[in-house]
Amino acid sequence: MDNKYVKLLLLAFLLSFPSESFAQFVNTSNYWNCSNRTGGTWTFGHAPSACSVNPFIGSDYVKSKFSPYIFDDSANRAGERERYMSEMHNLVIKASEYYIKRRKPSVSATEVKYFNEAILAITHQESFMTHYRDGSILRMMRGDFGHGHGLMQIDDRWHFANVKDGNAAHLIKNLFYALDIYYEAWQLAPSKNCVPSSTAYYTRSRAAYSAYNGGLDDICRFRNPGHSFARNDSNFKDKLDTKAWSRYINAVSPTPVNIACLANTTSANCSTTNPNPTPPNEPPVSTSFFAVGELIQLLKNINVRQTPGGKRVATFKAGESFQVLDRSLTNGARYYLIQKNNIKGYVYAGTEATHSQWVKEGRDAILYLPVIGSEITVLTRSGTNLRITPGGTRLTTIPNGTRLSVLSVQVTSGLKELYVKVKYGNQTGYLYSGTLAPRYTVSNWISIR
Amino acid sequence: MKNAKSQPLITKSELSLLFGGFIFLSSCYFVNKSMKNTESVKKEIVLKNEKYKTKKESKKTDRNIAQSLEFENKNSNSNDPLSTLKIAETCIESKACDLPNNDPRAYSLAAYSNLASEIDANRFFITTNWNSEREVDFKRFFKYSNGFVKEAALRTVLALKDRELLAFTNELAINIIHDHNAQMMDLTMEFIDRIQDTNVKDQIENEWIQAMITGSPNKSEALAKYSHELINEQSIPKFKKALNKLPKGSPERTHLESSVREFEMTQAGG
Repeated sequence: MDNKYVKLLLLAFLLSFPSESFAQFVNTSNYWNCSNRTGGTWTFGHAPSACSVNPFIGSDYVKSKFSPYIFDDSANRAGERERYMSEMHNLVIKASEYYIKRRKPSVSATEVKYFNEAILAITHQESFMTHYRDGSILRMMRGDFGHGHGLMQIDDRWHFANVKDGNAAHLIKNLFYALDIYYEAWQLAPSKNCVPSSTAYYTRSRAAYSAYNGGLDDICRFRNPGHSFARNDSNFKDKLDTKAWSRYINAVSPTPVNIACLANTTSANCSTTNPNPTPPNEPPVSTSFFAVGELIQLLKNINVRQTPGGKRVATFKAGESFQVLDRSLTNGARYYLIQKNNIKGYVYAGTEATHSQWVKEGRDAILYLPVIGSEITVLTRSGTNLRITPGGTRLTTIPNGTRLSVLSVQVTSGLKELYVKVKYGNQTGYLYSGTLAPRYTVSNWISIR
Repeated sequence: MKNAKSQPLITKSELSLLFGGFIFLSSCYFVNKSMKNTESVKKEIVLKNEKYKTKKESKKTDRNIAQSLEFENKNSNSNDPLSTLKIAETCIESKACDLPNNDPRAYSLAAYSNLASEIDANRFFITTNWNSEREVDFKRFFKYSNGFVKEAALRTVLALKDRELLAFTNELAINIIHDHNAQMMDLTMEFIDRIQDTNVKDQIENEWIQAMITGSPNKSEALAKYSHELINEQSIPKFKKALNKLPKGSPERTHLESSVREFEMTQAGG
């Protein structure tokens, strides 16, 4: 039989069985991916249950970035609740405000106020404003037999892809995910008979909650006291009316919040006093922080994550050596981007004080980036400019296919651009060689031997 | 060298045999699946009706059940292969099928999930029996707020020919790009890759940018991540302008800034 015919028949066969691997209901078990489960109390910041955050997001990342929003289980409960609630209350308001202003730039102050209050009431209803809890292990709240994740109780059966990707464990992404659903209902509500007008904010809040809780088709559920889930609507109304959370907010000013930065898994310093957060690379730290291109050896098995502290993609073993492809410092926590075959991700490497327990200088690793003495080949079709300094005056253009020896390697701060210093003819200069992150483009510019 | 014209890729007889095999294999799958689904949904509706008969429900619910049963009976007598899909839609509207109801969202999520499965299961029939009437009719699936349904609808139209696919450009822009669901990026890119018309591409880019600026932050980040695939000599000014409208320090700004810079470096020759 003709070869092409066999191929076509095989193709037809495959086409007749459509893939069903797409995101839909995933029947996860109760307390799926839940280790170190612990209970709690039905009080603010401490709702049951809680499981380790580590399968979804790095605990060191959480501690370095979200420390004000972690409920300390070992502290004096009453005092800790006040501290936590003051911080969390402020964060929820800021995130909610950031969200609605982003979606609706012309939004009025009154609408923002009602929207914020509705979101606060939902966080009370869903989780008693509980997300991260820290005892001996950093945990995240898991309600509804472990299916509900975190502050807004993102259900792992219906939102499996997002939960698995760590979006439910990331406090801000968890909030944004739920805000997407609530905002959609908020926008729809005024078009329904049960909401008299777009400025009937209180009623609008209740309608949007009914839809948030029961789906858009149930947006007027709050008007039906006989509905089987009417109790949820009345509970929400109680929370909206009583604002019980306000009893736990103390007068101490909460930590300033920069929502855009907190949402950014690669940014480091999220202080609001600095509108341009510090780029995560080239930080002013000791020489023990290995530079891009250098080799490291892991001293323990370390999880490899998609972003610093993000979704786990693999675990690399102690003793293995890798080349540093990027490095990041998030509030003292060190991360290195490394690669093995087609798996690439960030590994946690301790802090200035603990760095030596995690990694040491490595050897005999596969090189994905050029180092001093590497031979590179220019890959760009029209050649690449040779410049006096990185991004500086052009000296000449080096044609495609030219082989060069690397004199030094430099990574710019901020945009993480890779420049290699080379000698071409009698001219020495820098060659742009792509970016390291967030998108790795080095292989578009050069190949390394 | 052989003359390409004298050597067709496949002869008529091979094509007939291939088509026969294809129909046979796909029939085995779809008939089985379709029967299973039809039976289960019918059973669900009947069971639900029995259950509801013992309850005192609102008039509206009774009317919905009656409508859905009437609809189901009508369709079960016909030979319409899409009857299961229509029943799945009825379940959403009527709320009368025997689907999980143990938490407030369980029913609607299950009903939408069923509809998405039906769209997928009927993809072959739908796309091989395509006509202008079906095109108009099929657009309704993009209007559902549920991501599962939209995703299944998108997968189906991607199985159409380019000319037929382009009729869904507005749905892509309004119901997919502007939707907060960030899990459909690969399918979205597959659609965009098949658009050749520069005016249509321009329209998509504008919607894309608008969604990045005023859309859901999680979706904005996803769009920004893929922006490098849309950036070219014509579109770069628009994307550069958009950059200044994204919040400083946000992930979407980080991604877009990197893509814009990389494009500029490529244009400049490094």
